[in-house]
Amino acid sequence: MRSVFTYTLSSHRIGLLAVSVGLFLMSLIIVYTFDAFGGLDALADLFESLPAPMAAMFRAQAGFGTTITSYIALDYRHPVYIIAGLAFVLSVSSGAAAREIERGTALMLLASPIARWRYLAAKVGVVIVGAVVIVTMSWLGSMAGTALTGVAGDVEGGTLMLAQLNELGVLLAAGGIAMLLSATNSDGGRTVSVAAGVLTVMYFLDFVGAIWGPAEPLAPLSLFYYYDPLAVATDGGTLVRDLLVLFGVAIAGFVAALVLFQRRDITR
Amino acid sequence: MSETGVQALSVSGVYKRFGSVEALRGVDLAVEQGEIFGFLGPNGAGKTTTIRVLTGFIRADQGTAQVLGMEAWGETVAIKARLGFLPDVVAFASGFTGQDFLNYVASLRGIRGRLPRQAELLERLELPDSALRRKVKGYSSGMAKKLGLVQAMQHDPDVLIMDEPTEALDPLMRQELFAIIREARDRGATVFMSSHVLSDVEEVCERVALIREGRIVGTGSVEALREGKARTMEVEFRTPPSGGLSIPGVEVLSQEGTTWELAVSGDINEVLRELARHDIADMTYERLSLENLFMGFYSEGGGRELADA
Repeated sequence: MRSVFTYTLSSHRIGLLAVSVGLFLMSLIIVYTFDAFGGLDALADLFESLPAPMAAMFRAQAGFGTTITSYIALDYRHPVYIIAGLAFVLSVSSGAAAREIERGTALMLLASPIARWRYLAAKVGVVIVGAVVIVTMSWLGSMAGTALTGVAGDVEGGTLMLAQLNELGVLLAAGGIAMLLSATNSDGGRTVSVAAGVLTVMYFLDFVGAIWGPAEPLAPLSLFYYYDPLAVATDGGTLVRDLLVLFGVAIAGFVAALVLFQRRDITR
Repeated sequence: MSETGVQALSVSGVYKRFGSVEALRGVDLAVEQGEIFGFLGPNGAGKTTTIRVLTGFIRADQGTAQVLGMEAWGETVAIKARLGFLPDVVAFASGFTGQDFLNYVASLRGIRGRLPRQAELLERLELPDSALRRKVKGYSSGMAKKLGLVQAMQHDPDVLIMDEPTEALDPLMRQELFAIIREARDRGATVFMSSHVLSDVEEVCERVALIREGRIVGTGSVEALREGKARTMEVEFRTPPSGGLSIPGVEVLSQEGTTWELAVSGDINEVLRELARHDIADMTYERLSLENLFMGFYSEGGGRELADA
């Protein structure tokens, strides 16, 4: 199992490095360029003047708060953060089973005396470790930015860590869904497409639910409904509920993937 | 043939359906320990599905499949500890070098580094260190097959299951592979191989089974399968029989001038006595090849079960 984990992590190391270093730099630059926006008051004015859909994208319909911490947390909702993290998670998950079956490599590797569920569990481990590395690097980027700009004393690092924990929940929940699709399919490309499609629909469900009343009841069906780093930074929001839902989806997805992969036929 | 009386592989009444396609329709097979067993059939007959059932990749809808007395599906991990498997499609993750791959599959068996048997197999199958240092994505199909064979045999398995092992190998490598297979058999291993190359099966296998449309249509030694099947006789007459030939158990397949091709399934003595009445310039009487036998089974609209020879 350790071999599978090490090999899988190694084969995704470039992608993981690119995403985590990219998000580290993005987090750093966001803090570093804070003054360029004219400070907190100017940013508050800017967000008040934003059209509702634009503010909804950042979950900042009620303004973004008046602290640097909330400014940084607000940016964690930026689509680049979400897309970059999800790209890594989907890549590992779809490759975990479906792509290996599609290529025929699964037959050779699973001819070894290792239970299928343990083989897949090692890949789940890579998703978890990768997601933790990504959110940690994002947080470290924010901390490095505050240190460089001399505002470290004004930023609540622990609060930002909770906001990143919220993002970790989203990445793992998405990973659970993608892993489940991968464990039950034999086509890596189709698995990525379906998983990306499901997440895109969820993203817009959350977005539309935030700006259009009739769609509001559907928003809780989206994983992104439970991702609100700005609320974490301002008043704590519904973090406990959100984490329970997100980690619950992640665990359910991963466990179902392990069970179904153990029981399915490998028919390529 | 090494007959121990102990079954290494057994398949009994196995059915498998994929959607509307009935892939296996009551397959029965038994392979003894220490035997080299060939598995023949056209594309889509059910060879690979049977192999996947035996190797625990597919669960039978009905019936039982056992390897070394263990349930192929339920005890697959214990089986695989003693199994070497070469799938029909040999594929590797693209980032590997040949050596990385061999080390990886060895590590999945809890073994670190090179296995003692690995070096010998690499040498005999002509995979030098320079090839092992290259990325597998640049391998030719022949090299990929050799690497697949090494991974299947490097841990000295008790049972070796190979789907089309000779495909993509040149004639010399085939002979070397047969020698390795025979040596494995001599050490007590059981070898189960499918192939489209009938001459290969004929050369190395002690018994064969023929599968068609998900059913076993013949099982036994090649000799037993030949029994009762027509052989080909080519006769060149100096003066062809004017009234034709009427010999029990002989069918005239073709007449080209003075050369006649006959299918002989009756008593050869009777045939020779009848032919001796004519003026014959030349004659050949061919041993029935497995290919002819195979074609016979697949053109008759049905096969037959044969007792083991």
